[in-house]
Amino acid sequence: MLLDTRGLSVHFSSDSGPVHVISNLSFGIDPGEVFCIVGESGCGKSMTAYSIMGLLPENARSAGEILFKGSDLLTLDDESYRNLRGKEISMIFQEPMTSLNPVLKVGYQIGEVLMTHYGTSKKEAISKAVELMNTVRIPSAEIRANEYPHQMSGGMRQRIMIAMAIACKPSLLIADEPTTALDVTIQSEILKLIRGLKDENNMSVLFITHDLGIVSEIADRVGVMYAGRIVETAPTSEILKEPKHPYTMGLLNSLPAERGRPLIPIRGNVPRPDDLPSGCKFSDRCDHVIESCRAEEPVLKETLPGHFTRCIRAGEDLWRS
Amino acid sequence: MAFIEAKDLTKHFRIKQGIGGKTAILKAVDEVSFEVGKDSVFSIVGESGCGKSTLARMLIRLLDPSGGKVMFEGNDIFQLSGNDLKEFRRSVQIIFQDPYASLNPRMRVYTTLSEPLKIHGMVSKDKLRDKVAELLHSVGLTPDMMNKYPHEFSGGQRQRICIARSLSLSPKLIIADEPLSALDVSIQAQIINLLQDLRKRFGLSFIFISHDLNVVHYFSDTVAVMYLGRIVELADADKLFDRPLHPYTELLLKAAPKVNVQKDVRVPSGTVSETDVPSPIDMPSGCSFHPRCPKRFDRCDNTEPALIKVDGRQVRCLLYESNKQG
Ligand SMILES: Nc1ncnc2c1ncn2[C@@H]1O[C@H](COP(=O)(O)OP(=O)(O)OP(=O)(O)O)[C@@H](O)[C@H]1O
Ligand SMILES: Nc1ncnc2c1ncn2[C@@H]1O[C@H](COP(=O)(O)OP(=O)(O)OP(=O)(O)O)[C@@H](O)[C@H]1O
Ligand SMILES: [Mg+2]
Ligand SMILES: [Mg+2]
Repeated sequence: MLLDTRGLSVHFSSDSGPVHVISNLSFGIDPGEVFCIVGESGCGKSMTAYSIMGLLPENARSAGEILFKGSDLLTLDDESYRNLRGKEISMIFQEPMTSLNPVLKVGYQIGEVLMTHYGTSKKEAISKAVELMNTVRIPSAEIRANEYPHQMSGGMRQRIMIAMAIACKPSLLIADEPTTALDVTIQSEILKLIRGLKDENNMSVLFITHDLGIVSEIADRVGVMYAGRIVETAPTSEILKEPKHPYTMGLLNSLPAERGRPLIPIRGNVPRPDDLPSGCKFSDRCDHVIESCRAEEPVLKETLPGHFTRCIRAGEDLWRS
Repeated sequence: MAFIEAKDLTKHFRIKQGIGGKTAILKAVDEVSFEVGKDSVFSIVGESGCGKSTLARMLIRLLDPSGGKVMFEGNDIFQLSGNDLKEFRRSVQIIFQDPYASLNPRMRVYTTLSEPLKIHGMVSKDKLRDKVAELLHSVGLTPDMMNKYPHEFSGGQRQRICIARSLSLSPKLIIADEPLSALDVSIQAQIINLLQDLRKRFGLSFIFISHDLNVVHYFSDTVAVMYLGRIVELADADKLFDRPLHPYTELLLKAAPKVNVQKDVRVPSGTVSETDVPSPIDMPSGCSFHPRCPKRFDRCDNTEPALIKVDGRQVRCLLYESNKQG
């Protein structure tokens, strides 16, 4: 296993005490595997990514272990983290404009990654940058390397971000909703690109999204998150066909299917992290809730080989009924 | 007579290129025509920047066209004045993409919903509270919520408040410009159900703008596909999704991610062009889609296709013009 997150918890300190946004989160990613995290806004997807990158906000505290190639990232000092970040693990953010420097040419920005990590000369770094721009299929790369971020379209900027992220051939790429702001055509191009890079370099990918269509296209395995917890994890085709957790079923039922048939939304609203129900955190909104759900929080149990579910009724056939 | 009709509707913006540079013409919407019947859903799809919002803003007279006209119930909306204009403003409402930005954070829900009612003198003062309660009820919210401020609501609830506001004047047509894109799937489902329900209950018509093709297919009767300011295909939703005619429509449909539970193999992604969307300032010659088109042939580079009728729909592509001739 390349990445092995064990019992990760993250909380923020606030006036009214700690607010837990991630609780006892465990998942692993194998080399060359694409693992997708899905879940609604605020469930803790980005905080999971930031924990791995060592980029949590100042007022956040984390506990647990994040083993990367066997060593625990949560115990790394700042300098070791800097050497790792951008080289072994890199990340693409949702909004490329906020993570590109507006006053530097894009070619230089890509090259800078190589200068920092390998001490490559500026000249060589920039010619490598042009190669990378070709890899991410930016037309007339040599000319466009001299442009500034604001001169490029959203899709191009996102491709520049990807070029920076893959410059050092990282073993793990984290992509936090990298296509949410983009058109379907550009989105499909970026997904194809990430898939290609993964195949060529045997790179692992942690892909964060709330779009089940994207999950279906890119993921090998999926972790469904609710209120800072993984509630179900399984191979993609299995989880889409045979969901075992009522929340996953709710997400699938929310999608438009046959015309004229009313959609079945999940009732209620996403709870605030400081206002979760006791017992199962989804119990308030669940269609299959029984009394014992509220007594104690269920554990993540292996219900089928490789298929884990956090639900006391996971053994029943709730999806078909 | 169509309920609402766009006739050669055009919007060109003049823009300065650089400091002291020449002015260029940006053709945001170019000779767009369509008709929408009563009690139906007309959707507009297309990539970012193709002119969807500009078109919507002209349809509600928030923006003056550079050419063409909009007929609503037989009258040219840009000629309306006085009471007729007021009546038009009441009959046609718009919902925007961002439920956070389109509500005044300092106004209680009651004020937000009662203000338009007062302006249009729709209900007497002593009935305002009842009317606001009724509006909240019709979008699945409870009357006690009228005393709260926007920040006390979730995204889906805020979008419901926006919808309630758009319903307050009993409109006949609602234009929804990407009303779902800021919302999670489970909340999207609530809102789509709500729109369906309102349509049935009040016989409302919708002009629905979205980039989510799965939602568009689910919700619409007719779909117009726009590319660089022009309609390139206009058809019944079922026909269009079943068999797109224009290569651009085909590309869009292939690119849309679909949840695929049937097979273990993944859906192959569309053959997406290597080039970015061209700019509406510097339009390609001939068919404006030709630089990205997988089916282009010689004539596409220099011959501009017209919008023609094929198989009960409209399509702007030389492939079908030659078929017709041959
Ligand atoms: N700086 C902060 N201080 C306090 N709470 C925070 C802070 N940043 C995030 N949170 C809270 O942490 C929780 C998880 O946030 P996170 O950004 O991981 O959500 P997400 O799943 O990425 O959502 P989205 O899909 O909207 O990006 C949320 O409830 C959020 O309000
Ligand atoms: N006031 C304006 N002045 C100059 N150009 C404008 C103006 N408003 C819009 N445009 C341009 O007109 C074109 C169409 O814009 P519009 O906002 O209608 O696109 P859209 O299809 O709604 O895109 P999106 O999906 O991103 O919302 C774009 O190229 C845009 O830059
Ligand atoms: Mg996030
Ligand atoms: Mg728009």
